[in-house]
Amino acid sequence: MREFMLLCGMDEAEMRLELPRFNKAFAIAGLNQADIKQAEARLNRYFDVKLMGMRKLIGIWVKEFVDAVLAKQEGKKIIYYSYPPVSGFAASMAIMSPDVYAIAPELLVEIVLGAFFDKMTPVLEEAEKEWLGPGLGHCPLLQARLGGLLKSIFPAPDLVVSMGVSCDQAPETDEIIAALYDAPLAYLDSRSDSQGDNWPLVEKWRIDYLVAEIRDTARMIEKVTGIEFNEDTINYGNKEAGKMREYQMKILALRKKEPQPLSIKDAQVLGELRTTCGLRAVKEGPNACSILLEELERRVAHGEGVLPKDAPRIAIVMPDYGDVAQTEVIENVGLNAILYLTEPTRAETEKAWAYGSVWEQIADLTLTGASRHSSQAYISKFMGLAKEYNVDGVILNSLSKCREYAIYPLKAKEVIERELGIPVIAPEHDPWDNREFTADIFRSRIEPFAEMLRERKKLKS
Amino acid sequence: MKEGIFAGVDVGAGTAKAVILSNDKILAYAVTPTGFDAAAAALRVTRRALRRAGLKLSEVKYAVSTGYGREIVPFSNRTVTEITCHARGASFLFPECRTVIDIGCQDSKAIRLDERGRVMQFVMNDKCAAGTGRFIEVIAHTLRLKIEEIGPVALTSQSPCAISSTCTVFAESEVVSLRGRGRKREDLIAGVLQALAKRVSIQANSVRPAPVVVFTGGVAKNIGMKQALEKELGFKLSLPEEPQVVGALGAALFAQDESRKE
Repeated sequence: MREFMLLCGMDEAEMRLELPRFNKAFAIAGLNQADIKQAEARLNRYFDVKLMGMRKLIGIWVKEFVDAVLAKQEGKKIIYYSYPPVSGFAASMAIMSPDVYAIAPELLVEIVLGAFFDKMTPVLEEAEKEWLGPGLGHCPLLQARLGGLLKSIFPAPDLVVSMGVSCDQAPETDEIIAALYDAPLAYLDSRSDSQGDNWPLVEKWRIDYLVAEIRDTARMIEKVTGIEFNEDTINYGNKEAGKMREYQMKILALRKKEPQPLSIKDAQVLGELRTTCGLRAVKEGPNACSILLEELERRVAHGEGVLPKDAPRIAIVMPDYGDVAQTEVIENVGLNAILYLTEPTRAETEKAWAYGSVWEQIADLTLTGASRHSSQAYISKFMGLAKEYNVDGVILNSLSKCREYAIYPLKAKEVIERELGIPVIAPEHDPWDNREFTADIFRSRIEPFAEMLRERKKLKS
Repeated sequence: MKEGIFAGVDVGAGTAKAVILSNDKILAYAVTPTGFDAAAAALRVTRRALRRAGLKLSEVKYAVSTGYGREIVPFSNRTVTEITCHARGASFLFPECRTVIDIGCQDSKAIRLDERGRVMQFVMNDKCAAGTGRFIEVIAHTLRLKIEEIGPVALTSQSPCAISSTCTVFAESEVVSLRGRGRKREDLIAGVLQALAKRVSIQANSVRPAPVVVFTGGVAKNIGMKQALEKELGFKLSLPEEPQVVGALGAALFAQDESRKE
């Protein structure tokens, strides 16, 4: 365990403090010595653990997992919210009180059990036994959410906050969870903007509707926890979550430099930690990010990188989360994934926040996200980013089991190719489950794409 | 000017192919089943092709390997993906080629080329075998037909059956069930080719095919498949003399390029 904890960026004092909790949580999760050894090997192989900032980010994930597993035993009220959450709101739930623990548990399954331990499949299979059956097109992310509970890795919730803006599967799965564990269920939902081409603007009625739902959810949180949850709570959560967001934006900006200073595998660990908004991420994330930022700035200053300087620059949607071997393929075939097409665009970040209340601001921010707006928003957003960063190609993973990400890829491919003249590949993919799509299958599609981009780049220069 | 001898080896899921090239001339080629040991198959097929040209492996100046087994070819100097090799090979045989449709044992691809034979765009079938040669092989086995009989038998059909193209295993059950209901063998196999042609044509249309369209891969040797595909696409396909070795030819051409760079 010591070697594992060192890979998590812990010092002696923290190791002493956390060791009993780690032992207890790993026993509950069924992680034995062999699993820990395997995780050590995977962390060394796949992640840039030479960087202390990366070790600390990995450590935050693992500690978040331990906190989630032990939350009930440690006397906390438990709230599970859906991924991706309403960010400022999720952070507010996470830091509202030491007596409350809030998280999207599915991401802990994907990143900690999946990417770090390679023990994700049994959790998905657990969900398939009675509820979200195999071969029926259920979202593996939701299988991870339900399976983690059914396997008793995570304790029963006191409240479930379900997000169903553009996905019907999440609320339906949460209804099962709420019924199984006799927990109240709060819904945060909406529908696509009726004016698909007005993005990044959002129709006012949608904001009002989501605000009303957030307010209702806040009242349910107060009822379940007995703790006040008001505008001050949200302001505080929003402000605290903003600290890590600022660092993330700086690190994402450094990822546009050549040679690339940070692998996409590591960028995933950071990006999802920020999106997940757990207490550890909010509290410890800024320090880990500031260390990482300094380390990356040094790399940039010395011209050091993880790929050759002239590697084709690509943008990507939904690289793998649970199976880091698939993400590794992208760089192994020589592609530099500088940009997530889900990153905020200039249009979004420069949008005037006209709304006076923080409730409206977080609702507006949430609904401005292309996945919560419209298919046209996706395409506009992707076009804008691909153009702004002048990428050589785009990987638009087509997620056949995802309500949000299955609709637009072919149309987006056609529009980007036609308008920007850059190649786009839209392979069928599942970033949450490696049972159908393996690294070898992914490689067979991405490698010729990389060859094609290199040839085009040579020609251009 | 004598440049030397160059080898291109395409180690596919079903067959390994080799082409021996010198001064832009194909000296010989060979095809052999890949079997379990892909490295041995690569060696076997290359030696066979070399023997046909009266040459030895030691005389090969540069070799490029492609296909699924490209990484384990022991004598290969460089690997190139099969997409790039098929484009290059087809463009060499048909200089006006702008689109390649390749159906191999394990996958199918549609490739758009520029005027110099470089890949501009491509699509491949996803995780399923239903758009591939293996689909035909499985059904042919069920119908007790030899591979070479499939095309001619299909052409005799008057009323092709409607067969699902989404899954090889389900399609096989469907064929068994239809056979049990007395449907003729030629109608069943013609239906299978039609289903495959529909699936591949959707793929091909997504790269906006421009003439000349060259049909490559082992399945291109099936006359029934060529006809079904032409019907679906609404235009004629150009067929190389030996469509199965186009990828290996492309690999051999890349090998020759390497020599010219020196």
